[in-house]
Amino acid sequence: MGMLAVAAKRFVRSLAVISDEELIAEVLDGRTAAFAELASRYRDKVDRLCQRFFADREMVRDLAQESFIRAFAALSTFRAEMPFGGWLRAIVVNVCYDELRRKQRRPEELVADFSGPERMWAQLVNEATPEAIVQAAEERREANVLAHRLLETLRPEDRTVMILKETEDLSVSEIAKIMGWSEAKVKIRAFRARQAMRRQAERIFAARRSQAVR
Amino acid sequence: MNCFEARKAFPSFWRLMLTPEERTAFLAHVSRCARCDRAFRVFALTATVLHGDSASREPMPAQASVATHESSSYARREPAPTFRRGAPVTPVSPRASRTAWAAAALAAAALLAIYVATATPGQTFEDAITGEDAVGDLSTATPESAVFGDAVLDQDSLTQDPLTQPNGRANGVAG
Repeated sequence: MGMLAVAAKRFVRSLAVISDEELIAEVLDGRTAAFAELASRYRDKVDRLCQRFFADREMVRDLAQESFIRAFAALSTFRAEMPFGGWLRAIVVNVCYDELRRKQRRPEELVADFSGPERMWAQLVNEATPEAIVQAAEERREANVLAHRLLETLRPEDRTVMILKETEDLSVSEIAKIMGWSEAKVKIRAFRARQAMRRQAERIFAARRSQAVR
Repeated sequence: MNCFEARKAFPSFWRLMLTPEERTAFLAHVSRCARCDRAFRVFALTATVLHGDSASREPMPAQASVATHESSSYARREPAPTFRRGAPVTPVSPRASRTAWAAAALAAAALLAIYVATATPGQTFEDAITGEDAVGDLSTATPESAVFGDAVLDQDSLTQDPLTQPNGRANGVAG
C-alpha cells in the first residue's frame, strides 16, 4: 500500500510542472538528478547566450557545460529572492567573459583576411538599401562570420557590455550587478564599445572601397 | 521620426517588427539623414549576432516563473497540468460564491419538495418528523418557510461573503 502511494505520488508529481525553486530544493536535498531537468530547461537559452560571445560551436558547447558545472557547484549559494534564470545568466556571462579575456584577438587581425563572401557582404551592407540588407542577412552565413569577427576586435569588457545591453536588453544597473562593476564603468564601456564598433565598421567599409578601386 | 527615434527603431526594423507606418517613417528618415543611414549600416554589421534570427532572439528570462517553462522540453514531455503546484490560488469572487450557495439551497429545496410531494397524503415533512399536525403552524408561516425552512431562508447566510471567515482569512487561502 505504501509503495502504491509513493508510486501514485511520483506519478502525480511527474504531471505537474515543478518550479525551478522546487527542483533546486531537490538537488540540495541530494537528488542530484533533478539538476538534469533544471539544465534541460535552460540549455537552449544558455547556448544562445554563449553564441553571442563565440561563433565556434565546439567552444559554445564547452562554455555552456562549464556554466552548468559552475551553477551546480554554487547552487547552495542561490537565493530564492532572485529568479534562477537571472542567476544562471550571471554565471554564463562570467564564464564567457573569462574566456574572452583568455582569447582576446588583436584588432589588426580583422581586416587582413577577409574571405570573398565576407567582402561581398560588407559591400552589400555598405551600398544596399536598409530593406535589402535585412532581407539578405537572413540567408547569409558570412554575415554571422563577419559580425563575430567584428565583435572579436572589441575589448572583452566592451564586448560583454554590448552583448548584455543589445541582446539581453539589460539596464546599466543590471549589467553592473552581473559584472561586479560600477554603473559608471558600464556606461563608459558601452560608449567605448559603440565607438570601437563604428571605427572597425568604417575600416571594413574603407577596405572594401580601396579594394574596389584597385 | 527624429534621429533618436530612428536609432531606437534599428532592432525592431531588423526583426521586421515595425508597423507599416513606422516602417515607412523609419525608411523616410534614414533616406534623408546621412548619419542615421551610416549608423544603421554599422548596426547591420553585427546585427546577425546581436539581434539574431527569430529563433535566437529570445533573451534569458529576467523573471523565471513556472509559466515561462511551458515551452521547455520538460513541459512538452508531460501533458499540461490543470493545477500547478506553487501557482497562486485564485479566489472565487464573492458574487460567484453567493450564486453557488443559492443554487445549492435551491437544489436542496427541490429535493425536499419532491420528498414532501411523495410523502403520506395529509402529512407534511414536519408531521412525519414530529408526529404533530402542522397545518396550524403552516397557516402562520410564509409559503417559502413552509417549504424551505427558516434556516435555509436565513438572509445572512445568503448575503454573507463565504470567502470571509470570522478570523478574517480568505477561505481556502493559506494565511
